[in-house]
Amino acid sequence: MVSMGILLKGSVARLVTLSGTREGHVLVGERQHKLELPHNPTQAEVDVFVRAFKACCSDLSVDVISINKRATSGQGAGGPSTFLTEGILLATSPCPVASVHSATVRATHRRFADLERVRPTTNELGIAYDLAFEGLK
Amino acid sequence: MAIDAATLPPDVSSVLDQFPDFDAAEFIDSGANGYVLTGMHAKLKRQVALKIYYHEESEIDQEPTLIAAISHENVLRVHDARSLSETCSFFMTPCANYGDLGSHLRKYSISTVFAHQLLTQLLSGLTALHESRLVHRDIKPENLLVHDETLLIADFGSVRRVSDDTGVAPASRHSILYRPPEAIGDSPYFDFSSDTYQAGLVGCQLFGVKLDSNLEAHLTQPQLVKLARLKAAGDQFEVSKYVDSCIERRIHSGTLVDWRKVPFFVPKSLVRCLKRAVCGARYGSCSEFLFELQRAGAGLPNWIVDGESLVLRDWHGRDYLLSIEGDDAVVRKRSTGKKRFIQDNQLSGGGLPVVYSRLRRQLGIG
Repeated sequence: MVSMGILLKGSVARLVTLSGTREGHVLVGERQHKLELPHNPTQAEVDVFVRAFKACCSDLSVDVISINKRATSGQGAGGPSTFLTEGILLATSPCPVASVHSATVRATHRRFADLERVRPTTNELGIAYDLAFEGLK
Repeated sequence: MAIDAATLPPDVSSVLDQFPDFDAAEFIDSGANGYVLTGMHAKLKRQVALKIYYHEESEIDQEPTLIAAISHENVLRVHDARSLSETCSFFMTPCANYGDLGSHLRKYSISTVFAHQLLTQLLSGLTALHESRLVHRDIKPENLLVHDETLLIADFGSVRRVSDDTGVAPASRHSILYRPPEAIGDSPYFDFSSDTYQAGLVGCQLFGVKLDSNLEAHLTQPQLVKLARLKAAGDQFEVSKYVDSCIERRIHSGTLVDWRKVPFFVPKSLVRCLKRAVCGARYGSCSEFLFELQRAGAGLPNWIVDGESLVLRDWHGRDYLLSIEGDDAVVRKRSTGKKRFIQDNQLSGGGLPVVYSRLRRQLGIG
């Protein structure tokens, strides 16, 4: 199966896509790793954002998407850009989207650290990888 | 009916006999292997186009089947498809009110934002084809339609399925100008990145680069001298073979597009994006191209050529008009939506590129 992990931070979406299983998987679409919605986006800019996102899902044959779950209030709740980006992704995703809590991600990471062989070294892509790993069976 | 049925070819008349509800308004016979009729469908109450085309008796009549299999807003839909005889078929599609992109670009100037929009729509439609493991193989402005503000991929005569084993399809022999490097040579082939290459060439034209359909216009001076010698010898086959070989060399070396002709107001990030689509380490898929294009298009200034002037539309609530008066370029501005422009003396004065860079600095255009 193909699982995409999306880390939403502000108006930036970091994408990591994995193909295979938890035991054996590879990174795919490594060039499609960042999508950014401009501040105060116009309708045309949102349209292009959606097209790029959908094309990526289609090209990589993504089966499932995992997004980081936002806190409802306080730190980590995200600003208006995050709400907007998350809303757009949820409304237009061609495949099922699951919100994954950061505690779940951390727990899986502790448990299956030895299986995460192709985890990117950068912090944000690493978290996006963990989210994608959550979606793998 | 606005056209005289008696003047139409017999096959076209037979098609019209099958559609009493269709009121033909225009007959187009410029296609390579068939005809197109456009007009009003009385029952559907909308403009439709009937494409009548000829094919080999043994050939699988695949065109309408392929279109019907894909449901995407940027891929032409098919309402009806029938066979007229063993070598002639026709199908009905919606009609595009602005015709094909080639003639649209010849008639009108389009803004940078609209050009960006059309290119993303083209790539989006191609993604839908590629998802079904199909390659179009003949993406060019003449095979793309414009309806309102939507681009539609049309002409599916050269669409082929990509082999599951090799990931490639046989190369098409259509339009040499649009042939990607891998479709030329001893073992030509076509894959998904080939369509992306052709989309890149269309993108260049959307942003104002002219790709002359007269092949000889792409030849260098020494090549033209040799061509004149061949023409004098009178061997037409050798002449066209030589022209083709010159074009092929340009395609292989990535010099088909003259990047110096990109209008100066097109942002460098967009030019980089287009360059990567057609030369060097090219995009492997439409989504890669779309990702780059999305980044490059953020906050894109909406420039449009209006006759001899250049207009920047709705930049933070203001329109700017750049025009040449005498030796100097003059800048005029107005609030978006207002009628009258007022001259800006601070920004005016000097050549057009000088005034443009002054305006860019002042307005913070990237």
